[in-house]
Amino acid sequence: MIRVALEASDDLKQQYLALSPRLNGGQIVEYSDADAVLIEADTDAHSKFACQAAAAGKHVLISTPVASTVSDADSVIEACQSAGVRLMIGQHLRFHPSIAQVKECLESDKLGEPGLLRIHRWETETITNGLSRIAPELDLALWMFGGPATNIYAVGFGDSKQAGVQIHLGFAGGGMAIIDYAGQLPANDGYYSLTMIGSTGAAYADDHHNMQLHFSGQQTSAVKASQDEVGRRNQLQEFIDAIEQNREPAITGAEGRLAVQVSTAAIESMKAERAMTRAGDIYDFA
Amino acid sequence: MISPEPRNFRCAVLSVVKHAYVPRGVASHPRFELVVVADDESQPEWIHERNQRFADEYNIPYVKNVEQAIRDYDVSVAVVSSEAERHCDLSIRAADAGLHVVQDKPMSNRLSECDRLVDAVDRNQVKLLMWNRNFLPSVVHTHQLIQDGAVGELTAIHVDFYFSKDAGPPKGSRKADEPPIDWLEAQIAAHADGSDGGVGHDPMGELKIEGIYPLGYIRMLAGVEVKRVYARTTAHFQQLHADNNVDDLATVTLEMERGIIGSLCIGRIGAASHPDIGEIKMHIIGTNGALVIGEARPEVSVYYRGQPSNEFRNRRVAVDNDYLLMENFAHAIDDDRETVLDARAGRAIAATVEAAIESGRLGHPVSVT
Repeated sequence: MIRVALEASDDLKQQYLALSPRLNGGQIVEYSDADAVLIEADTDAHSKFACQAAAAGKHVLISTPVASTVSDADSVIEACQSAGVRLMIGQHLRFHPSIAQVKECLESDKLGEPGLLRIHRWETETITNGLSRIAPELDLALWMFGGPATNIYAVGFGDSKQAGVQIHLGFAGGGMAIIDYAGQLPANDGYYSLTMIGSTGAAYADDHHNMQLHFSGQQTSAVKASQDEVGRRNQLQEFIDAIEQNREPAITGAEGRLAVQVSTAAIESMKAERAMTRAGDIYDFA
Repeated sequence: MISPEPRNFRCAVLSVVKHAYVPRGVASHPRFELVVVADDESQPEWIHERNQRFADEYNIPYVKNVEQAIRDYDVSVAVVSSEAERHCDLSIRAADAGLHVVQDKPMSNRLSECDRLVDAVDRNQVKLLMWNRNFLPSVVHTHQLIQDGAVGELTAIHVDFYFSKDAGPPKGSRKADEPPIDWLEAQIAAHADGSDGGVGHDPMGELKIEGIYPLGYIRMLAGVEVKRVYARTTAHFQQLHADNNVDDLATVTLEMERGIIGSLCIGRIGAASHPDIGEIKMHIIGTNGALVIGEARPEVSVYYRGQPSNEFRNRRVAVDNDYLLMENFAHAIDDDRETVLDARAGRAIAATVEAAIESGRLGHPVSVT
């Protein structure tokens, strides 16, 4: 049995505790009793919590973005390697059934070469940390295209350009992605849409398609079932399985580092209002 | 007091080499009558054949002399549906003869031609309507919702505009010893299934051929000019586009007046990639709300035994775009006001497309001039 402690908000702790009875070979415990730690806290505290956990000999599952800077991400990776503990980057979106289905279609060659990824993510709250806001979707883009973005251009919009951000990516081989994040939707469940168009097929994972109608009062409303619980459970199960099976987890430290690097470059692009290109392992202005 | 009967308009169709949705759309309105088809005698035989075929269908004459047809048939409107590279020339000649003009998209494959047409329209004080889809029921509804304040002040608008059609063989299918696919030959052959929007000597990518439609939505819904763009373009699906160095897939970041941003994703993504014509959607964000709009709706889903695989499973209904466009054009003439997509708007959209193509080539943002 792999015992996992939670370094997360009270609300997230409740969510994970609720799904824990369905875990195979794992259970949620207090920090002092844990073999592993799930860290889903403020990004600025990620590297500190992760390095502390590794130093204590605990395996680490840390949500995207793994750290606020690439150097802090390197510190986390090095700390886990030195301590001989597993490091998995948490990205529960990869484990959402809809999104996982799209990736599976890519991997089974139903869609051919990935050409265009389009993501809309609309939420009700603006996350003050820009990196936290954009890193999950950028990670999805890198995952879908199987490597780093070669070109990045980002623009902010709304009040002081803080209401949302649009990130435009290019990939080797001509692939491209546009990610639209908006953080000031009126109160509701938010909206998520992901489209992947490949050279021989396309997959559409779209809240618009999956909404149900609710009639009450004056207005008809659209409601949906969340996939967050399933995503978090599948992610945590993968972490537990990787530890038990003594293998690399599905999302490695290197992938987490790349997401931080690309996110940082996107923020630089947005601030400078200039495009960036990748040469070697570095992003610079085009 | 009884209002006078509105005047009707006799129309000359100046070349109809593509699938004839524009002249048919014009003819769908009772105030517009197609009375003659005309083209320059110097055009190749395949163009004359198509013009004659259309003229026969409508039981009207075909005259191999544009200026003579304009003189002899007492027309006041020209309907231009030639190859894109001749669009502006024919429209300018019609405007110089005092005709109002309905022109197919794209406005031209050259921005300089668009400028000449804007000048001609101004000089002759005629009305021009660039054919568009702004009166589809979903677009009309969306426009009304925005006007009614449903989302507050607009901050972002995104359009997906994919055609799930093939354009011949898929990319990567040409053998090394085979010649590149000839653009004009392929477009002439594509007339059979109506996929010949790019017909002409000059190859054009999807951004140029179809971009006016989604950019027309954005222009009408946002009501602002595009100032700068950043684009990625590629030939990803079609051997035809790869061989002719034009895009069949493009993504464009749009930076507009008033800090509004947007995006356009457009492509000829192949028949396998959607059960119908293609995914066409709008995502709109404002200060007080947002909208997600399926442009094809309302639709009816139809499935039956033996249904051909290439028949759309979802059918658009309540489409009145043709009539409403022509109603808009008629009122523009009656009341001396602008059409829903006039020459200046068409030119602005063409400039946005040119800037996007340039940005895709250069790899950095480009201002729209």
